[in-house]
Amino acid sequence: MEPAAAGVQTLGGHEEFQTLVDASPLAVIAIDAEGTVTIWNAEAEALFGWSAAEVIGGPLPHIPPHLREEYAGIRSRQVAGDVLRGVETRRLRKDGSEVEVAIWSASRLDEQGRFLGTIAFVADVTERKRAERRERSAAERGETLRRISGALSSAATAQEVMAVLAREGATALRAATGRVALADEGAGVLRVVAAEERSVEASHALLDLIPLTAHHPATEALRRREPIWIDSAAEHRARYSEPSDGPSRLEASGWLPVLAGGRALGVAAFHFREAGSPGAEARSLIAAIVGECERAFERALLYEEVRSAERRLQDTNALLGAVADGMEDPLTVKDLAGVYVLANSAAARALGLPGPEAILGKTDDELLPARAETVVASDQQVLVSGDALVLEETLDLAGAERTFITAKSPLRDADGEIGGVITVATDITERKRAEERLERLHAVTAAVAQAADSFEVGSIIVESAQTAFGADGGGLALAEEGSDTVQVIAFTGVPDEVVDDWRTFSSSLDLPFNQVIRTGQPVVLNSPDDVARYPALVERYRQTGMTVGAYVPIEARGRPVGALSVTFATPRTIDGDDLALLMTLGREGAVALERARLYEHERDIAETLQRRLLPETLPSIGGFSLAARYIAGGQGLKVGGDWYDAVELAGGELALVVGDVVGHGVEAASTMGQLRTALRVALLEHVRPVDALAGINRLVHQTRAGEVATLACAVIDPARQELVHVSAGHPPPLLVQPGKEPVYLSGGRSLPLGAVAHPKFREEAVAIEPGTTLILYTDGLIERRGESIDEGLGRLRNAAALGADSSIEDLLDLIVESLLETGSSDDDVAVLALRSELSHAGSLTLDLPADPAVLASLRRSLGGFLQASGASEEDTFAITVAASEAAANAIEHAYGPADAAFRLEASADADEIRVVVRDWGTWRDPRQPGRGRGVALMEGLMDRVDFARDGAGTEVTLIRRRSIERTR
Amino acid sequence: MTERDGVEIVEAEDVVVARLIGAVDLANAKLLEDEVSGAVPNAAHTVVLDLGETTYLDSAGIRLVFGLAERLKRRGQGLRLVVPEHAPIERVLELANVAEVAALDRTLDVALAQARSR
Repeated sequence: MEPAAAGVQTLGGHEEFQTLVDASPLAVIAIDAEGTVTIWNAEAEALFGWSAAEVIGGPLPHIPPHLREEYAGIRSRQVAGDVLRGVETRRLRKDGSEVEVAIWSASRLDEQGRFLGTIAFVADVTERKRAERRERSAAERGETLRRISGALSSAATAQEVMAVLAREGATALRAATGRVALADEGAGVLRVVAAEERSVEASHALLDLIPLTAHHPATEALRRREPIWIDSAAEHRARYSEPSDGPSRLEASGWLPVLAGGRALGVAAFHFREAGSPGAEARSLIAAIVGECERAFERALLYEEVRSAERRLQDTNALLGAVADGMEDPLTVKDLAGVYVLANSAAARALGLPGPEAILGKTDDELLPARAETVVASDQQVLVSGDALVLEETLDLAGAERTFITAKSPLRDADGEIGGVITVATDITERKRAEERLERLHAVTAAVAQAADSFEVGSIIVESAQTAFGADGGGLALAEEGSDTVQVIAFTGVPDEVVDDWRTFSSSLDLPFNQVIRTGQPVVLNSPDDVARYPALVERYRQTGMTVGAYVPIEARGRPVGALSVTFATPRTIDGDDLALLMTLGREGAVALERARLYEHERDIAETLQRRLLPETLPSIGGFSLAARYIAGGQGLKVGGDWYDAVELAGGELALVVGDVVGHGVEAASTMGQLRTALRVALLEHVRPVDALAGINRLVHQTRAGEVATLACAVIDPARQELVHVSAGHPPPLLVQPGKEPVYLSGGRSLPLGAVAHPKFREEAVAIEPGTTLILYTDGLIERRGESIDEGLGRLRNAAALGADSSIEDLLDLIVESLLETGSSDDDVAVLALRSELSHAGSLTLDLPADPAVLASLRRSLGGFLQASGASEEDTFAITVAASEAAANAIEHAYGPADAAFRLEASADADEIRVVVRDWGTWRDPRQPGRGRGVALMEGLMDRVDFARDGAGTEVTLIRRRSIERTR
Repeated sequence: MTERDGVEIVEAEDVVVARLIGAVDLANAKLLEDEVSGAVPNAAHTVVLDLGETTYLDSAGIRLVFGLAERLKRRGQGLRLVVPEHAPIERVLELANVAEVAALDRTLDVALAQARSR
């Protein structure tokens, strides 16, 4: 016996389960009660490296030693019968490496609750986890910078700014300590002015002062004006004569110079408990944080200078002016009458005037006529209240809009009397722009996180780039793996008539996209000459009216896989800042695209699993036709747990099932598979739906506690022309009888599967009139958001009434079209329909394949028809035998097994019953030995038997008069 | 409601009793015939084919009876059929003149008694 098959048997399974295990795109591993491996499928071999032969029969080989305890916990849950859903952990590979996995498992218990074994599906989630971590770090970065911006905007003093730097820097780097030391040139030391100690032991390890002459990373960073990273305490000792920070247990450290006003002011230092300094991403984040703090620090220093100048120079405007003139920011002093008595050069520059003299003696009415009223009002507020005022204002200066933070304070004389207003305006236009970009980036990060697939990610990134730059066009192209085609997954600003031509292009074309993908370096086209370097591009720019553009790489797994572009119709210069922003957008896009790719991969698995679990063909059973529709709803991993199934049972009955497992994704699809198989087996065994459902309810209740499945199950008995159905928490089946209003079968209403331990399932028997159609469906068909279910049921009934005379396939098309608004269904939908081919007019037509296996079903259908036609038992038997003989002949005469078919037509009137069997094959000589018996039987049982042969085939007509007296 | 076609070998000593259950048609006749003749030891002198639970039988079934009778005859073994009164299949057996190759009894008891009194 195959090892895997042995495992299946201990799980009480069957062939279909084996197929599922073999076909599973996930690793499937089963162990028995002793913990011995019984299943280890090909995927498990591929994932972990051990072959089934090495593993089966022994203990699980892939539990990492350090996770033994965790595994013991998992195992005790499995022994208790718990179902594991996506438990994430690590497992060993044969080569000793570890892999991150997610595990779904279900245990099998016997009737006494004893553990028999566990089967687990194991997915490799390494890639997904990695993408999640990357995405998280991008989001965290945005979040950190936002938080710092917020903290800094309320940090008024240099001291406060340094505290923010120490705290936020340490948080962002996950460092044990963060400190900022400022150079005190007079004392010749670096003095710690802010410290963030994130653990007690760290606080003892820090020195407060480092001599500026010391051979130490702090002084080196200060001197070289670049960050120094040290991986361990040992490295520090090797590189520097000055000891690290006392008897510390800290290892790695980073030293970043803090620059302001072009001077190196001090050093931000971060220490780590572990060896190994932070990676490139963390380094770029801390650089951004330091940059933010430097700008805030400059502002704070300025305010402090002004304030101290104010204190020191209350009486002497001349001295104030001397200080003010060295300042980069505009500073003015107005007297109580609003006349400018002092202004620095920066103020004159800001107003577009030649020098401070042009300001002195004037008022705001003269200098800023458009805004004088507002400015005077705020001056008055300061003068009256005696308090300082800070406001943000946007001024149109010398033709350009600039944003300022304006601080106004009262100017007091030696007696403390207010004599005027001192105003310092800081130009924050650049900072404002940076903040806005950050804001926008944050919005992009949030938006792409919601995107369901690569195309959506592409559109969001391209749109964001277009908005951020006010660009006229843009696109995102990805190189197709293993081909020389580049696919544009999103673009804008391209005229409709060429859109289709541009969707893909060859990677050998001389286009900036291709160059970026080849080299990983951005391309900027700032002039027609730049554009002319790409001959293939000239025509495109001409068609779209573009003149300049920028292209940056999209990287995945460390190499360029695509490119992002923005293009402009009006000439402009794309500068370094623009490029940096575009590259940031490109990185956002890359992270999201990678996530989307993995997501799509996982969704494909779920869909494949689900497709495998739905029947490929429906069984053919004489006298009935079957049709089914399955519409996958929603997007992404929302593959549902809906299914339909049709099984021919041993007695010739036909069981129809439509069900819905709660949930979505791989898990729901595999639960659905187990349930479908279990129900098939139960139906084959019990035939009656109530018995079958009672059988598997226990299984569902035990192994999937708290989870339920709803289903409708109907068993059709062609001999009795009767159906028996149960609706277990499921919407009622719809019965459409010719010439009548469709009705919902309200009987057989029962609890959902798995809802309680011992439910009472009820069934309802319904006679099948000739031409009747039965429709089973899942709730996705009738449910619409914000609507009662009755409306959906009404719509289904109307659609079914409308299509009652159409073919069963057309009927289902009509139902699906009229009930499902395009793209609106989040849920999956399964619909299964059965129609009796008995016609009203008292006739039956069966088109059957030329296969001996259909004879039994032919007899049942014919029997049903004859009974419905009031034929006596004896007539029924005789006609059935004769018709079966004629059919057996037709089957034996068939040319080949593939597509040969025959037709049986039966009709009855008051006097006689007639059966015609038509085939398209060649008859053998009926006088052949043994062969004549069939003909003799037909002739013996019928009143008349006619054979009509032509080039195409043979038609046998059998007629028997109704013979009431013969039955007596 | 359930109908499982097949053969049940009830006894297999001096007399072999094989019970045909359900339908016998083109789809399964050959298999059933092989199964029955495979269950007949050399020591047996008679095979009783019990058709009491046979719901359907047509020319494929007739061929089975004739084929089995032929095989047994070559081995010097006899064949008896149990066909209850009013069995629907009786008319088919009658039309095919099965009585030419096998003795027909109404019950299994009669058939066994007849076989052993030989």
